Parts: sequence; C-alpha cells; structure tokens
Amino acid sequence: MTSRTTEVPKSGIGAPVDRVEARDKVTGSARYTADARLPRMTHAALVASTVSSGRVRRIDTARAAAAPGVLAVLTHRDRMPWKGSPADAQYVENRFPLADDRITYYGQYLAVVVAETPEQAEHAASLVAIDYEVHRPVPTLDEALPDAYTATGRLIQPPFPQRAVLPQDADPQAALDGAAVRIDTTYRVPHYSHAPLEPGAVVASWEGGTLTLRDCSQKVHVHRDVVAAVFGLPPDRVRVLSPLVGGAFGNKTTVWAHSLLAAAAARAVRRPVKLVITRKQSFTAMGHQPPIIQRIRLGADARGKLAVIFHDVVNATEVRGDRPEPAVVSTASTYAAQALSVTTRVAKVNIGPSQNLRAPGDGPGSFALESAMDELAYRLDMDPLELRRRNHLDRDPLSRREWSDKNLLEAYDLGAERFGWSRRPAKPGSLRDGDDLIGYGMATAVRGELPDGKATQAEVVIRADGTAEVRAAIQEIGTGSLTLVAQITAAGTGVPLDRVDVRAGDTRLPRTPGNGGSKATGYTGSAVHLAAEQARATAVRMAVADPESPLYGLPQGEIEAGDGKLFHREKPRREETYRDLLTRHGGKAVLGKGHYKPRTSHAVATFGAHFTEVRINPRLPRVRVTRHVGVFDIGRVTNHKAARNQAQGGIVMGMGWALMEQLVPDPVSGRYLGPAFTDYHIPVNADVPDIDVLFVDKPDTVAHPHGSKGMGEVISVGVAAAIANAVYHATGKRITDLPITPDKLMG
Amino acid sequence: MSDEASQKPTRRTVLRGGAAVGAALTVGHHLPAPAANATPTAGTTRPISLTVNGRHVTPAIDPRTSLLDALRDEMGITGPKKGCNQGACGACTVLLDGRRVLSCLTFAVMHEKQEITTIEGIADGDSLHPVQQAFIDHDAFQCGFCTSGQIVSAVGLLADEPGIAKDRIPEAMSGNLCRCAAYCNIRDAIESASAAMARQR
Amino acid sequence: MEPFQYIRARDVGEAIRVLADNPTAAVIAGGTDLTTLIRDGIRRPSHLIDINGLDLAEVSARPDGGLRIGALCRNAVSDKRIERNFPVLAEALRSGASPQIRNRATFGGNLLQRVRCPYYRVPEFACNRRDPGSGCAALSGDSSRQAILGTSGACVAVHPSDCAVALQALDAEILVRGPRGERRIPIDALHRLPGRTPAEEVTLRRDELILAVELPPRASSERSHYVKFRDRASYAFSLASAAVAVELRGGRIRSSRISLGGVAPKPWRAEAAERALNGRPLDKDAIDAAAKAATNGAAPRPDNTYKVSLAREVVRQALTELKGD
Repeated sequence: MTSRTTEVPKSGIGAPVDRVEARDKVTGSARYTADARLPRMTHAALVASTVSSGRVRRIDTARAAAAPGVLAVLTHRDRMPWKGSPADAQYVENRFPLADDRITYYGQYLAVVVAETPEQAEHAASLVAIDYEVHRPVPTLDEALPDAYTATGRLIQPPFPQRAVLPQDADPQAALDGAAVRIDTTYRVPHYSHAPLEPGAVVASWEGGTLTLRDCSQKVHVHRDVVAAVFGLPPDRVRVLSPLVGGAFGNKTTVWAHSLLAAAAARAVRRPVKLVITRKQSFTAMGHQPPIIQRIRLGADARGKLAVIFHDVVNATEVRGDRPEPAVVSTASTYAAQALSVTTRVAKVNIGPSQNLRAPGDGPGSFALESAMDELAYRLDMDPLELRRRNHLDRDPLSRREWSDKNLLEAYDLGAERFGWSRRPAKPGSLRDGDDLIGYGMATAVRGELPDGKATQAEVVIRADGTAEVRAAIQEIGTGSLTLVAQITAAGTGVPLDRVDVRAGDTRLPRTPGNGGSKATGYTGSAVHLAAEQARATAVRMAVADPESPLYGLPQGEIEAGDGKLFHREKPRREETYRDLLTRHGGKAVLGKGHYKPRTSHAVATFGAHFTEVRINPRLPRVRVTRHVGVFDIGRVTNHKAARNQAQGGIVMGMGWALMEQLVPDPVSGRYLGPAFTDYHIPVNADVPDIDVLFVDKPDTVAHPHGSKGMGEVISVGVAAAIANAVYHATGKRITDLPITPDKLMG
Repeated sequence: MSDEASQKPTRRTVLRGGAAVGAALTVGHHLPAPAANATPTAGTTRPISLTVNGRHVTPAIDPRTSLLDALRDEMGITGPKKGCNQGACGACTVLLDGRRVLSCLTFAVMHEKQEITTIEGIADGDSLHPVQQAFIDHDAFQCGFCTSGQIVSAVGLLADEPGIAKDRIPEAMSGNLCRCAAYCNIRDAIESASAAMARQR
Repeated sequence: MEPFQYIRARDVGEAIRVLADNPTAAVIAGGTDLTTLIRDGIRRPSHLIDINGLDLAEVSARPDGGLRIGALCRNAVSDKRIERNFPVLAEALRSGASPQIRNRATFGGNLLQRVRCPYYRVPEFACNRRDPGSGCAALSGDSSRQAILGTSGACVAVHPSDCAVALQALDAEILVRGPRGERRIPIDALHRLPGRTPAEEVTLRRDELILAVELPPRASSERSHYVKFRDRASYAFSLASAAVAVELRGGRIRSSRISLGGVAPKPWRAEAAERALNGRPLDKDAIDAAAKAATNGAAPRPDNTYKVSLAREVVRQALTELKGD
C-alpha cells in the first residue's frame, strides 16, 4: 500500500530492515517489566480512592494486615520516606503519594499492601476499610469554567507563554474587525487516555542503600533523577532499568506514584517488591490528556490571506496543580497570519495529573486550527488545500528564523496527487455511493522540535572479534529505536548490521533525552552517529600508522569502511578487517564517544499533510474512514519499514481521537465511567482501512548531522481535523466536539 | 532468562530466549504438595494436571488464580501478557485444546487435563511458525506487547479457517487490540502466512 | 478477590445439590463474564461450581424439526442447521464478541450475563441491581448508553446480549432443571424487567441449572436476520440491534417476530412492530410502519434520545435486507 517519493535503499540508512528485537517479540521471549522475577520477590497491590474529592476520616488496615501472606500495609499514617519537595524533585504531582489525608481525584492511592503472592496482596487490599469524608467535587471542565485562570509555575512544561501577541506591536482585534471574512468557532476535545497495552509495572529492590527500579520508562535518566531526589539519594545510588516498553505515547515519560510506593514498600519489607497496576488504575492515576476547550477566530481577506488568528485555550487541570496544555504552541508556526493572539488558561477539576500525550498540544491544537481553516475555505468557496497553500509560511515567525528545511508544499502536492484530491467536488453532501455519503477532508501537520537542555551521549565500540556494540540510555517503546541506533552504528563503522549489539534501557549507559518528544532519532541518532564516526576514525588512525596494515601510510580521509573492513576508496584491494587490525593491536576494542548538542541557528520542525475519505450511512451514522494518505517531511527516513509502520499507527491513533476515544466522568461524583477497554474504545483491526504513507525523504543535515528528524508526533497531528473536515464534506455537519460519535450525526 | 539479559535487548538475547523458556517450565516444585485426598478448601492451593506447550505439568494453584496468572507467575511463561485482565484486549490469548481463548477470563483450576499452547509453544524448535515469520517480514508490531496474543490468535484463526479470505481477516482479528496500531501489517502478515501454509500443505 | 471453594461438578444432580445447599454459590461455565465480576468484587460467590465437565454441549435435532442447543454449547458453534434454519442466531452470535470470547462463552452463560452499565460494573457507584436499595447513580448521571424501553425508577440498564435477542425472535424456550425436576421457560419470560427489584434479574430459580435452549420450528425463523449497530466496527456491545424473523405466504407477511437489543433491560419484543407488518407485503411502507412502531412506549432520557432513531433504523435495515428473496 505504501510507496515513497524516492527509491528505498536496500541497505544502510533508510533500508527497510527487520527490527533487531523482532525474533524476541514473535517468540514471546521479549521481556517487559512485569515479566521480571527476582529472588525473594514480594507483590504489592494498591488501594485507590473511590471518591474524587474528600478526606480519609479513618482507614482501618487491621483485617488487611491479618490476611494470609501479608507483609506490610502502608497508609498516610505511616511516615513515608520522601525527602524534599515535589517541586525540587520535579515530581509529576504537587504532593507525594500518601503524604496526607486529602483526596483530590478518583483513584488516588490511599494504601499499599505487600504480600507473598499477587492474589494475597489484591485480596488484602480489598480488606482495607476506609471511612471517607466526601466533598462535593468539580467533576467536569464545564463546571469549572467560571473559575478558569492563567497558570504559573513549574508545571508549565514545556515552558510557553500563557498569553502572547505576535508581532508584539500588532493589534489583533483591529485586524479581526477589519477582516473581510471571519470565523469564530469553539472546539472541544474530551479526556483522552494514552492507554498503552502495557499497564504500569515496577519491580523495586534495595541493596546496600542502592535502589534498583525496573520500570516502564521512556526516559530512564529523568526517571532516575526524580526518584533519587524523592528518596534523598545521590543519582548514582539509583539505577533505573527499562529494557522493552509495551507502548508509551508520552505516558511513561515521568515517574508515577505507584513506582515511588513500590520503592518505599520494598524498603519497608526489605525484599524486592513487584507492583503491576490494574487497567483501571492505569486509566485513573497514570496520566491522561485533560478535556480542552478552544476558541479559534480567524480573519482573512477575500482571497483567503489570513489577517489574524486568535487561539484561546482553557483546559482542565488537577486540583493540586496548574498544568496548561500547550495547544497554542504550533499555531504561530503553521500559517502566515499578519497577527496572532494566543491565550491559555486552566480550570481546576477533580482529576488526576495529566501527562503529555503523543503530539501534546499539537494534537488538540491542530483539531481546532485545521477545522477552522476548513470552515474558512468553505466560507470563501475555496479549495481547502489552496487556502493552505496561500498561507504557507516561509520562515518561523516565533523564532524569526529560517527553517532548517521545509518541504510542506511538496508534501501537499504528493498527497493530493496520491489521494486524487482534484476529484473532490466542492459542495458538501454531493458525493454518494448508494445510500452512503462520502466525504474528503485534509489537514496540515506541523510539529516544532523542542530543544533538550542536556547533551546527548552515546558510545560505540568496535571489538576485535569484528562486532560492534552501541550503548545509549534509550528505550524500545515500539518505535524501532534499538534498530535505529544499530543501523546508524553499522553505517558509521562499516560493521554489518547483524554484528551490531545494542545496549539500552539502563541509567548506567550514556545519557540521552530518552524516547519522547520525537527526540530519539534526531538527538540520540546524532550522538550515535558521532560515536560511530569517532570509533571508525580511531581505527583508521591505527591502521594508517601501522606498518603491518595494508592501509599503512594512506591518507586517513581516503579510507572508507564497510562489510567489517577498512579499505581505500580508490584501491579497494588495500583493505583490512577490523578483526585483523584490532587483534594485532592486542585484541582491544576501540571506543567512540558521541556528545551531541544541536547547534543549528535554524528553526527545526517536521511537517506533513493528511488526506482522508470517510463513508457514512446517514441512517446509521458511524463514520468509517475508508482511505487515508499521510505525507511526512521528517528529513531522511532511517528505516522505511519501521517508519511506515509508526506513521500508520500514529494516523490510527488520530482516528481514535476523532471517532471514539473518551473518558467520561460521572457528572455527579467525578468518577470515570468505565475506566476499562470495554468502555474506552480504541480502534480495532476492522476500523482501520489500508493507510497510504509517503515520505518526502530529504536529509535535513542543517537540523541534525545525520539528516533525520523525529516522527512520533507529527504523524498524529491534524488527523482528527482531516476526518472532521471529511465528515463536513460528506454531511454538511460541522462537528466541533470530539469524538464524532453516531449520536452527534443523528437528527 | 537471566536478569542480565533482560536488561539488554540485544541480538544475542535472541539466542538465549529459547533455552530460558524451557528452563522456566519446571513448574510448581516450590509449592507445598497437596494432601492426596484433599477436598477443595477456600484460599489454599489445589494441584492440577495439564499440558502446556507439549509438556505435562502439575502445578498447585490457588483456585482464584486465572489461567493467565498461573502461566505467568506459577510457570514462568510470560509470553501471554496482562493488558487489561478484563477480556477486552486480547494480549493474553492462548490456545486451549487448539482454540484461541482469553487466559485472563478463566481460572486455571478449570483446565484439568487440557492442552494449553502459548506463544512459546508456537514455533517448531528453532524454526519459526509461518505466522511468526510473517510478523517479522511484515513488521506486524511495534512495542510487541500485544504480539504474543496477536500471533496466537492468528494461529488459532488459520487453524479454524485455513486460506481465510483477506477481507475476513480484520473482523476475525478484532479481538486483539494493538495500541501502536500495526493493524495493516498484522493483516498483511496473516494473509501471507496463510498463503505460505497453503503452499506447505 | 475473596477466596471461594471450587467444585468440579460430576453431573447435573451434583451441581443442583450444591446450588441448593449454598445460597451464594455460583455456576461457572465459559466464565467470560463471571471472572471479571468476581475480580471486581461485584459477585462474591462462596462456591464456584464448574459445570464444564457436564454433557450439555450437544446440538441436536428435535423430532418436531426444531433444534436443541445444549447449555454448554460454545458461542463459536458452527452448525449448518443453525446457519440454514435460524440465520438470525448465527449472525447474532458472530457479532456478539471476539472469536476468543465466543470460543469459551456458552449459551447458558450468555443468557445469564450481567448488564454492562458502568454504574453496575464499578462497585463504588450506588446500584439497585448490584446492591438492592442502594439507589441508582445512573439516574442522575450519564445515561447516554442506557435503556429507552422497559426502565424503571430503580434501574435503566441495558441487557447486553446479542444471542438472547436472536433467540427471542426465534421464540426459543429455555430448558432448566432444579431439585423439583425440569421445566421450560419461554425466552420472553426468562429476563425480568427491573421494576422495583432490579436485582431479581431472571426467573430462573437460584437452584436451577439451564440445560438447553430449544428452538421450535417456526415458519418465520428461516427468513430471519440480525443487524447490530455499535460505535466501532467490531468488539463492542450494541448501541441498538434488531433481530427480525418474517414468514411470507403469498407475498404477504403471515407472521413475524421483531426483537430489539441494546435499548432495554431485557431483550425487547417489539410487538407493535410485528402488528404493523402482519398481513401486509414486505415493502417500504410496511417496513417504515414497523420501524416507527418498534419504539412504541419509548421513554428516552435527555442524553439518549438518539437511541430511539437508532432502534428504528436497525429494524428498518434488518427488514430491508430481508426483503430481496
């Protein structure tokens, strides 16, 4: 189904090679955190609040403590070993677990029970009796709206201005008042869950004052630093291991309460503790994207040139935190408006802490902006794609810098041609197949790359047996990171891919930003690239200085590497294997270290375009996506096989947001209704059409030396809007509140 | 699998995988042996006898233990995954007397004398099952957490419906969620495995 | 999970004896619903009676031309007689759950599965069906998925079965045995409407075991069809479904049965819709009239009025797809 704009390389960077851990994953031998088993291991279970607002008046643990196999029961009455403040530790909540008796969300943990077996722990947890003082909660964003306010403080992550006008001397209101055409629409997105298939799991063990945490983490070093601070330990006394992660999507970029509780429990019972949280707990207390209300106002001239964009956002936030969703962040960087005004506010609701969900900000932000652009196009009687072309941005107005590379216009052309966009009739409701209504929709995707403060490190060694090893504290969350660093190592050293080992998922390895924010490819990939180059250069220096080497005396710059050998560029018979070279030099491995901080003076972003077709039976109106073309401009594609897969998956997640996903709160108690996969529907196989993915596939070496950028976010940006726009094209109904469930299309 | 290996998902892990699974199959020896004429008593374990991946095993099981937990915690067979424990995700799919079922929705004690096949029992020694090979060839997974269930489910499907029509596969595989959403590749892999199996026949 | 005593029943008599002796004993067959109910603390049986070893799985022809389906027959059953003579049942079964679940779920268990109301399934909510007298949190809460027919001030939950809706359109009878012998319960009479006592869900007595489902040889059953509408393509409970069975004689409808799923606390027999059909040709006018009549008496709540249209539309689609013969 997929094709690309350029030839897919058969080997090296870009080649569609199998994942290095593929065999493990198809044989069941791949090990995830919950699969770990340690000697003398105990099992923990959590007691979670059944109310969303209140206080623990009394908590009776006597029956639980007396139950068979129980080793410990910890509650807020016990002195928990936390040090410092949540802010100092950069902990996800503003309150450590079990720190006090106050309850601010449904599913907040109130006790942890440790027992010999999981069944005993779960049973004992059910015996903990809690007498609640129940307060009236604020269950929904609508109820909280009158008290919305502008957030300040540490939870604004990534930092972005809560109010801004661009350019600073612009008068957006005047621009709107003077515009020939105006759009003013309010859009809503519900509570979404990351819902990775792997629930939270952790195994904590202490040994001589050192804590080892096997945990589901996208960022082991960030994880370690938080845990070390919470326990008042130097970072080198905490080791975090996270080998394979069963899906993450932002969910596992931080340390959650259950990990801290497992570590505290392990210290209390002086034995390793395994804690696998339930699916319900994964929904209630392990992050989510909160509901967001966005008002978009557009002003344009009669030819569609944007005079002004207003983007006003308010999102639900937890009672003990002020965490704004960065939905406005890409608004300035998407279209060329003469003026821009953005505001963000939060409103306190009795929900748990939120956490970046794939394409944070840009996912919901693009739904609003790209829907509004579609409305504007219809108002102008203009092709929605043409409207976007007319408002193309040639430089980033936020940073006032050139893009490192941008091929969005080419992406539009490629996608439009592949999709057959030119066959789109302008009038809504005019495409039919039998009784079914057919609609076409499109949207732009933009995702800016956020810099990471710390340098990215990696090591590559070439060993005397002719193999290589790459070491970097990345994780395999499903995106193909292990394969990526193996491929870059193979390309940089000339050691064949099947002789490259990968070590990852361990804080004892060189530090990287981890896997989140689309940074694995750009940052870690670059550090590995530099490390591999350095290892090879060291070997080359050894060879040309060694009278016994066939390469002796040749200029270093003329030596190339491949197939496990070094050879002269023009006289390939002057060659020597790494094995021969290194064996002669005492059998020692050569080490290359990569240290990467991007130095570009350009703005770095990834771009894309989505074209989608929906089919709707007007009497039984479930929206079916029947075709989808996604085109992405992400620099050079490092592995066409994994990239295509990830892009299809990102598009499907966007389909889920558009059509079915939502955590629904009970309007009285604030509890979620059905925190379960039976109620929180994500797409199943039968929901998903064949998905066509194209890549512009041009190296962006201005952004990163190896020419590749991350793709994990941009693939999902705009999908929901493209679908909503297609629904409008099919039915003439503009759905502004997601998900687009059948009831909204009836009547 | 050794702890060291579990931290390093490397090429070499692949080679160690098979042996580790075999070693984990010594089941139940650490648990107290039940009395010969034991009547079932609440909260205590009960011996059962069943065949898992072709091996006869006799673990002593708490009646509350799901088949999934028995496989994972008592027998060390961790290929089947606990994604929801509610029968809503399919990650725990195993074959029960050759038919695909959800191991989280049944108690282990109910399977006396039955035959269980997990992902660990799908390959023929070192030789992958055509569905496993097709999953690699078509990159039919990302994080891999649902993959054990997807593959076992596909093996059960192709046993029920050899040569299944391509357009039937999405519905027949909709009991297995994949949040990474490798759905297109999953059905391509199953279609190609089905063809490969037809050639083998 | 509370400990329970596990008993593997050797025969029907033993299962009934244990049920009779232990008021909080529960029967487990496929277990696809009961395991989660126990895990979530919604049901706390003292004894679990495993009946999987009983000889109740057979599908056999009845002398009168009907079919008898054993209570332990799995929902994945593939039987030419069902496909040919009772197509609505085959279709309902296929749409009922994933293949994994259907490979375990039994006919008896399917009929006795509990409601999927989120207020019932999450024990911290007040629920008269789960804890009699505790109230119904759904009444003041979100009722977008709740019933529009047959509700009461005590309960608005929806019966989740597809199979039972088809069985109702086939006029099935449920063969049960208790300490006092065997009896037959018409499918219409198996499930109770909630009224003031929603916890009394079925007319099956506590010490009775379902032995089989019996399908009589009705002329309408061969021309039968199931349409299920849900919010994703598969693996979801219905928002509304219709089972229709129509007997045509000389171009006119001689008899019909129409049942609705997803809209009532039990499989809902739409008798007004049947009356609208009977005696007429199966044409658009008759179908429109039946669709409209199907929701007679509906009392939707503010956030589930869409279900009235959905119910009519699934009836319309089911009858329309029947037509071309």
